[in-house]
Amino acid sequence: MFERFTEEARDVVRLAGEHARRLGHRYIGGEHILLAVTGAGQPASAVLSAHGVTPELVEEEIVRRVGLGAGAGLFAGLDRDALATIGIDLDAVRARIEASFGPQALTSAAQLAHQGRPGHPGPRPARFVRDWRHRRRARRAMDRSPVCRPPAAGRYRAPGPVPSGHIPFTPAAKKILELTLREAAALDDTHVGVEHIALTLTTVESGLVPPILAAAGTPAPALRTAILDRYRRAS
Amino acid sequence: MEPVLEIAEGATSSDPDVGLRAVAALRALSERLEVLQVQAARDLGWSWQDIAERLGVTKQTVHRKYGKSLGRR
Repeated sequence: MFERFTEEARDVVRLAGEHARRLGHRYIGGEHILLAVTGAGQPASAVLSAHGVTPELVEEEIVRRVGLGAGAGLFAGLDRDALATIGIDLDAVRARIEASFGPQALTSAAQLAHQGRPGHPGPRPARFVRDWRHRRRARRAMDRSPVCRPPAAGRYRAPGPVPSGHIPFTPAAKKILELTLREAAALDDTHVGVEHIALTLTTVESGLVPPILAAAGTPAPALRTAILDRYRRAS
Repeated sequence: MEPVLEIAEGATSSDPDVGLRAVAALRALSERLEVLQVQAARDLGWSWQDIAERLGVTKQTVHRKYGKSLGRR
């Protein structure tokens, strides 16, 4: 589905993964995509920053709401404000859990929790499929342009080793990436750029993105209008 | 712990919006914690029977939910 993404939009997707790793998260959520968009140095990033949605704020909010490192995934996406209304302090719960269980237990429990149904890896693919995937990976590594791309920078870094290997998009993040195609179509754009990702983020209704945007103090519809204005002037 | 007054809101709130959200969040939290605890118990060699007893469900229920992922360790 990324064929129609511009180079910059692909960079945002790649940076979202790097941010997730840096924070020790083993999934890429809408919040990581938002963080990548704010730091992308694109007009959409500038509009967001001008309305208070800076990379610093987004990162701060992610860390405040989900935490750093292995235990973070276990508590990701929980509605902390709703829990607070019944007297449950999610930070207190997390602190106790992290004190009693090692990072290993927290990580694997988080993976199980996010699979919905506790997982079974499925059958091992046939030999030729594995070979083909291997070659495809090698080819893509070669294709990758040698241009030096900016690393995912930020204040925080989870202690311990950085999660390695493939980390998956959450269902919500996949949905966001799919919806960017619709945003592009609605504007008659043939390519999906960073602005379409930003526009999609302003329409998200669940997960961490809405509360993070709310923390910046500008209502999402206003952000949306500002982004649209910025690109209308440019075109 | 939070004051009792605050507990009187939320799940016990007369506003369905607040109350239902609180219940849903609580359910999500309890599911995550269940995964963690069941996994930890299995790692310590607990039987499905023992785990089920503490959770107040049948052995089959726990095994159906976690058997595949935590079964052979």
